[in-house]
Amino acid sequence: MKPMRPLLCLVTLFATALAAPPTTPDGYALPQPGREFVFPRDHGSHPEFKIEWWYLTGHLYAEDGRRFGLQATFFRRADGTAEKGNIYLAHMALLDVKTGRFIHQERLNRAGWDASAAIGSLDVKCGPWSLRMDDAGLIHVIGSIRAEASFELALTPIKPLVVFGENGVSRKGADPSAASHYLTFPRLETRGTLSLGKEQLPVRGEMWMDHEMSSSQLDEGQVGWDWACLQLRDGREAMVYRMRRKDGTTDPFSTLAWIDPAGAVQQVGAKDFTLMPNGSWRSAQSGAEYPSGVVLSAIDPSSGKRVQWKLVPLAKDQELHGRITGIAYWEGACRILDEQENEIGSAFLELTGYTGDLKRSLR
Amino acid sequence: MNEAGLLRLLLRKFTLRHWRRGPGQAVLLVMILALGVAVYFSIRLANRAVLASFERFTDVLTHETDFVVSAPAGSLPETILPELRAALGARPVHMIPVIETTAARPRSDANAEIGSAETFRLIGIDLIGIQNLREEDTSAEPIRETWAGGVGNLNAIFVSPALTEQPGDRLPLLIDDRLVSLEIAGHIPARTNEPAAPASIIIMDLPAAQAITERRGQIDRVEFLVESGPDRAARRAEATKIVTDAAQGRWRVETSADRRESGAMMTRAFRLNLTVLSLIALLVGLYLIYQALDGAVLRRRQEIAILRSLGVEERTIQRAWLLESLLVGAVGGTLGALLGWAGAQFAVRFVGRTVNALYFANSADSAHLHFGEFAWTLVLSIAASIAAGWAPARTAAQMPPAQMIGRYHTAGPGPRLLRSRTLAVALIVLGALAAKLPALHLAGGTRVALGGFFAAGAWLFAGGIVSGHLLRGLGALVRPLGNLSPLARLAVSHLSPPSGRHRLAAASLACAIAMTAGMAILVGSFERTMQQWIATTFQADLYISSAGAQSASSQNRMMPATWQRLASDPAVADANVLHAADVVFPGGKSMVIGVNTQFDRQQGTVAWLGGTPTQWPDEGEFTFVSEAFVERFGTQRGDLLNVPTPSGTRALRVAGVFADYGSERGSVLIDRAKFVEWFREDAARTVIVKLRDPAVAESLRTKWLAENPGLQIFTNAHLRTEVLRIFRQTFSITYALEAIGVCVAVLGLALTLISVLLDRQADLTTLRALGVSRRGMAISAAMEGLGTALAGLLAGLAASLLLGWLLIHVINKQTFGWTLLLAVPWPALVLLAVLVLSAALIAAAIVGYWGAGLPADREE
Amino acid sequence: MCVTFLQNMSQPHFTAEPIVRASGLRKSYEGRGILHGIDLTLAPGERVALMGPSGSGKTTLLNCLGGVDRLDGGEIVLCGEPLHSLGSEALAGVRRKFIGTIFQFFHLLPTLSAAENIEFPLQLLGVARRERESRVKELLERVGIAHRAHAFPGQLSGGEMQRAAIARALVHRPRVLLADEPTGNLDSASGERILALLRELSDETQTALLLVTHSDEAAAICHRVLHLRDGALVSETTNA
Repeated sequence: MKPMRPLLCLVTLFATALAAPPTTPDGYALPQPGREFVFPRDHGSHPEFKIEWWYLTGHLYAEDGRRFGLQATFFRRADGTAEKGNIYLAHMALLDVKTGRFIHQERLNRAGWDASAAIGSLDVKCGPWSLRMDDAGLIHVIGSIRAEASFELALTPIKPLVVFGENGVSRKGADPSAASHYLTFPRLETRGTLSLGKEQLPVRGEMWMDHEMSSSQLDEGQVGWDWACLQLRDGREAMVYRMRRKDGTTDPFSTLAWIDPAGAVQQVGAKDFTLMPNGSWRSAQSGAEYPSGVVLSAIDPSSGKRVQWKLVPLAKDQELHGRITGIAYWEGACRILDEQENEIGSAFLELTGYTGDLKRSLR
Repeated sequence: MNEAGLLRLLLRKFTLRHWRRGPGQAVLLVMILALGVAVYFSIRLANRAVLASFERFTDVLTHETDFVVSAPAGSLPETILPELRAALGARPVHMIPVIETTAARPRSDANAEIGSAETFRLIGIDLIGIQNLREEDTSAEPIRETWAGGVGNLNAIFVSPALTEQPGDRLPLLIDDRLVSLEIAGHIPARTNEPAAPASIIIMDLPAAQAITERRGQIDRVEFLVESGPDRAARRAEATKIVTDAAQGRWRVETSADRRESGAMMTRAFRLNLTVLSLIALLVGLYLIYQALDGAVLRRRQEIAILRSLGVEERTIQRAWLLESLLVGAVGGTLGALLGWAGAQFAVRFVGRTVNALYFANSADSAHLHFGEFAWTLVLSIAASIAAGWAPARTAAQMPPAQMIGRYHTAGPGPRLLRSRTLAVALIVLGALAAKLPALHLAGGTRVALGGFFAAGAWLFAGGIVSGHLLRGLGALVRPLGNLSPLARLAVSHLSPPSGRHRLAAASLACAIAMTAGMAILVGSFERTMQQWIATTFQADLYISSAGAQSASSQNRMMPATWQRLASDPAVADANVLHAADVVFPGGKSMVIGVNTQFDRQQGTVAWLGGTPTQWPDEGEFTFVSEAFVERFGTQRGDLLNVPTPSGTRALRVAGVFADYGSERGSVLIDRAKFVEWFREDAARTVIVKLRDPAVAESLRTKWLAENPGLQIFTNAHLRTEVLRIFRQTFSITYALEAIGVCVAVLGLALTLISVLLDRQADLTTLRALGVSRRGMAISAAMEGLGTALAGLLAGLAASLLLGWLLIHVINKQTFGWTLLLAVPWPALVLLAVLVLSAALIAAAIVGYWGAGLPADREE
Repeated sequence: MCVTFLQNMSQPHFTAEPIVRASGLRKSYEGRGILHGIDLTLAPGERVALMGPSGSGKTTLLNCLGGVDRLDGGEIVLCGEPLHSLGSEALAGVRRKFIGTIFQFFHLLPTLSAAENIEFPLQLLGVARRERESRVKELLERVGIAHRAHAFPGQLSGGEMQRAAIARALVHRPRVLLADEPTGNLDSASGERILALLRELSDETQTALLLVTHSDEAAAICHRVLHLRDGALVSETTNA
């Protein structure tokens, strides 16, 4: 669930159908159940879909234990009006947990010499930023933020790729076309160098990478979503999203997915979990009021018991201001605390649609 | 009382009271200085405005970029962009590819003057990528959705809010040889606290601009902006080095400073000339301030002597007088700056037009008050005023206390320097030697005729000295006239020997006239030369170009299909197709022109210098270069010239040198076929047509214009008049500056006479007692003024002949590289003489009449 | 010297028609009265001294009589010309023809030589060159500075300057000579010689002389002495 879908794509809403048609009215592909994914081809770009993104989040540590939260994301959007068809948007954000300093940058380019995504393999560029998988399956991320920080990271998947959704289709709403193919590396061992000011820090840690493709996302009546990925110390992961409706209720198509240490996925629907705000924080920059962390309440499939885990932000202010697109959202590193306040893992939390009517501001 | 207190007292009780009692003179004095300052200030502001408009468009949108990559010749292929990005790696640097061309409003009348159509700079820029610059604009609220509607729409443009047309309107434009109608999608956003984009800039999405100019895959330059953050300077240096190292001759890297400098450099000579000209009025003003203050010291000598006898120290007296000079300078400077600011709004158009015609496209339409320039002008004004007041202040300080004021204390003979014959001779000789010095060569191919300027200064000063002696001689010569009329006797008696005042007045007039007449000789010679050049060069029947070609800097081309259609018309006997591309030689920017040299050979339309060539560019690896090129780059006939082209550097033998008064940047002529091959460009700038039957020229022109609304076509006669008109227009500001200089000198003559008459107030009373009527005194003063003016005029005209020679053979030749034939425009000089003498006569008569009414200067 | 009173005013010396007849002269500057109704006559060949303290209006009276200054009231008829009603051009003409003026500070035109200064009034009257030359020569000799004819004022002594000034004042044979402290700026010896010269010349040419002075020596060459105080004639003395 990535916030830039709506930023890039003005959703065309059309009559609800029981089954997804093969394409949108303007000719873009819609996710179809039972699709066989072939790699590395499917790590690459799928221009038949209107929008697509590669989304990396994670936690890094320097040798002295200094902790960082990192986000590196690339979006592709087919722009029916642009001569060359695609526009790329990328975001980079870094949280220095020790100082609480959060820096981020946005970058927008039309497809061409300064932005591209290869078909057939993972090779995405936007300006000086890039994401690439080499022949050995190692993923390389090169990025920077406002000339204050830069990083070169090598990521090795230590758990197999996961495909979320039913039969390869991750539904986001009642409209069958509001869906995506959702591929994830839930745990990537990460090593590399982080340059921060004059410091050159060797870092290591774990990241999460989503790759989604879609042609239609938000449903009528949805105002935003809260999304999180959890990496637990016991070797499991979880991904959860709650689609929020205008009336404040949770959309039935909200989902929680558990990944066991072997990589098997177990998914439950909206009725089987809650993801509720835990306090609030107001951004001085955008004026938006965000939840100050969330509480996940669900049955833990490993114990069969209900758990109440708190996702506590490592810094309150992890808001991306959207200087170019004009749309702010909150995306930040959190620690996971159980009922006894024990830290049981790390998470990344995404909160969108808090700055007003997301759809209207997109028009 | 301390000295400061005493100075304040002297200022309040004496200086300011004198000013109040004689406000007319104070006002005149301040006005003369103000006028001089105003002329200087207006030219400075106008120059600045024109240069500022040379800055790139990105400055309008965001910060100044750090460096620019452009081709040494022609344009750059887009394929270098990923290569440049790869070379920079992950370094956070914004890269902004740009394509730029000129576009003009379609003509309303096929016979309109060249340059009359509004011309725009059409800038193609990636409207999506440019939004990344908002990340740099941290100071303000980011601008959002500004470019909506501009992306993907091949007809969308963004314009300045200053343009008459508004978003939603359509703007018809001539781009190359096509008439297109573009949709205004919005206004160019202005950054917070920055002025809006000038009306002459149009922005378009890069792919759309490439499509509309039929230059897909090409760009003109790439601008680089290193992202803000720590160690920016080091990162900028690193990025500049990486891009420079990757060039391998394919592109050039210029920093913003380089680029602005090159704009500044290109026009440096031109601006220097203007600034020097603009200083005439101030220079003349200096002479006048000197004598006004000297006169004031003389008139107030009694007061000074009394002050001295009351114990005021010499030092304090001197300072009080310097303070008075300072006040004059400050008031005159401020007033002049205001006047100059107003004047700059006019001057900027002249300067902008000339720069447009000769150097580069610019969008200057108004001149802003610039604090730095204002402060500098004020400092100059005060310094000048204090310098002029220095000697009078010393004179005042040396006044002995309680001196018995001699009744026959007349104005002295003036500064010794202004009387020294030896100095005059020395200056003339020194000037002659300096004129022999070669030009000073600056980077970028600019040449400054330093020796020439020195010679001009020396000869001007010598002219001033000569005018004093001439005045004396003239006085002696006409002294017998005194027998005919007492008024003449009186007038003549003041000129022989002349007072320092008269000498100064004559010298300042001589200075102004020498420069004015010298320039008139230069312009006259230029015009004569141009006429001969035109007669040789323009022999074809029709001259065709894009109607958008409004000046030398226009980029509008004729597409191959267009010119081929015209050239193959059955009425055409022969056609010469001209192509052009800007090329950067190691010494600076110039132009390569591809022509059909056979055409030139057959029609004999080239004005050769140093003989007709024996080898022609279509016969081998030969080239012709213009005279200005020879002067700029030092290339001689027979030399091997390396010409950069998009397909590599070509070595060509210089087989001939031709006269070209159209460009001071110089040009290199190569064969058309080679141009098309090397520059990969078949679009033409101009097509010259010789008809089978010249009589059909007019009707063919009408027919072609109807078929090609995007073209402008000149018949031979029409083009010749246009060329001369543009030539004269180029010099119009020169005339304005000179006219002001002469006006100041004539005003100065009036001020001199006022000063002289005030000195002679006692004599005037005597004359009245002797029965001389007011009219008689006016007549006498008029004769005195006329005599002074005549001496100044004669000395000035004599100096102007020297100056004219200097301007033509040294300064112009060294600066612009044009050989001109000396032609003295006698009618213009006679007119100048008549105007100056009548103005002097009238001014002096008015002053004389006024002086005769001065109150009696008698004590009981 | 014998002092009489106003009732003894009418002296039998000068019975001819007065050359200057002034009556009820009034003049004020910026509201301050300078002359308060002065009556005065001057006969041909008569020498009258005008004495009085500083500020009594002597010079103003002299300037009014010379047509240099304008009256506020009263009449002056000089050689038949009503000065009070003439325009400035006509006044200049009267001065040119009928009046000669001598100043305390000589007021020679500094750019003209002594001879040229003397010649100047003749030129103004359009006298022919030959005539001018002979008259200038004659006067130069008469005032005793013929040897200094071509010197410029700056090169002359005070006495020489005043001699030249007297020559200039008389060269055109004026009917009235107006002199303002002619010896005020000279040493006593030079002063005496100048006074003697004035007396001789006025006798010779029958030119009326109005002499403003502080000096009794100067007054002594006059037939009458008028005493002026606060802009009014307060007494008259007749010299024997």
